[in-house]
Amino acid sequence: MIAVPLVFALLFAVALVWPVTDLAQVPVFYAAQGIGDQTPWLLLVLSVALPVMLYVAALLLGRGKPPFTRAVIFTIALGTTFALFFSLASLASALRPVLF
Amino acid sequence: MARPDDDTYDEDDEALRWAGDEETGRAAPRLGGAETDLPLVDVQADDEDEEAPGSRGRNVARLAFLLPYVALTVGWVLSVQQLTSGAVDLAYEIVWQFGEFLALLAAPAWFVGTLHLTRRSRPLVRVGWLALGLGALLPWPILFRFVAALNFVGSVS
Repeated sequence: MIAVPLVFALLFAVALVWPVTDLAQVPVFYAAQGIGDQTPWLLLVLSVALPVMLYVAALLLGRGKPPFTRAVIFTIALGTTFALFFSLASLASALRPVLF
Repeated sequence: MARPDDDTYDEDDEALRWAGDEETGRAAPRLGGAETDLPLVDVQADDEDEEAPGSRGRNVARLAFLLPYVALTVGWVLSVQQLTSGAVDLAYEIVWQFGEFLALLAAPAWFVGTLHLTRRSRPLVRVGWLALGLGALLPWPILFRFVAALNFVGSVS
């Protein structure tokens, strides 16, 4: 029963790679351009928090259910995580000030 | 039980009777469907014909949300084509591609998964989950591109 949450914990960790990288690099980039005060902190933090929140939600929703059902719930949550990350990334791009 | 002396004695019938049945009005054999008046077959047939509670509502929800979810999936197909990672590292690019693949599957997975997981729930529960997925999985990358294109056309004309 613990195998499904563990496997998906690894996959959700993969889903955190880009958000964490953005959180580390985007503020530095904005600061280097002299627009550090316009860093989209809310979007950056949200993109890191969402995978964690969706993993916990899938974990709670799948409690007491058969492994296949849990895997289905985790898969949907993982897909939603990536979809929301791309949405937030495109929103950040749309809000980004014209630099050049 | 005493064995009757008449010629009509039937061992099978006797096995299905209890002493004192005549007094309580239950003289007929308790088993052997042909000899009883119990409508066993009819009851089962009625159960099969009867729809599960709320199944009509769940079917309506499924049909109502089918087209929006197809539109979502098409939207994500278009969105994924617009997205670029800009990564020079192969590992980052692989993660990006993996994410695009899952984002592409998210809408159909949400739809099918919700239908599967709410097959015994109330119709409103199914509608709620499908509506939540519709809101969460809007293909913003292509929508932003579309809005930007509209603004550009508006500024030119």
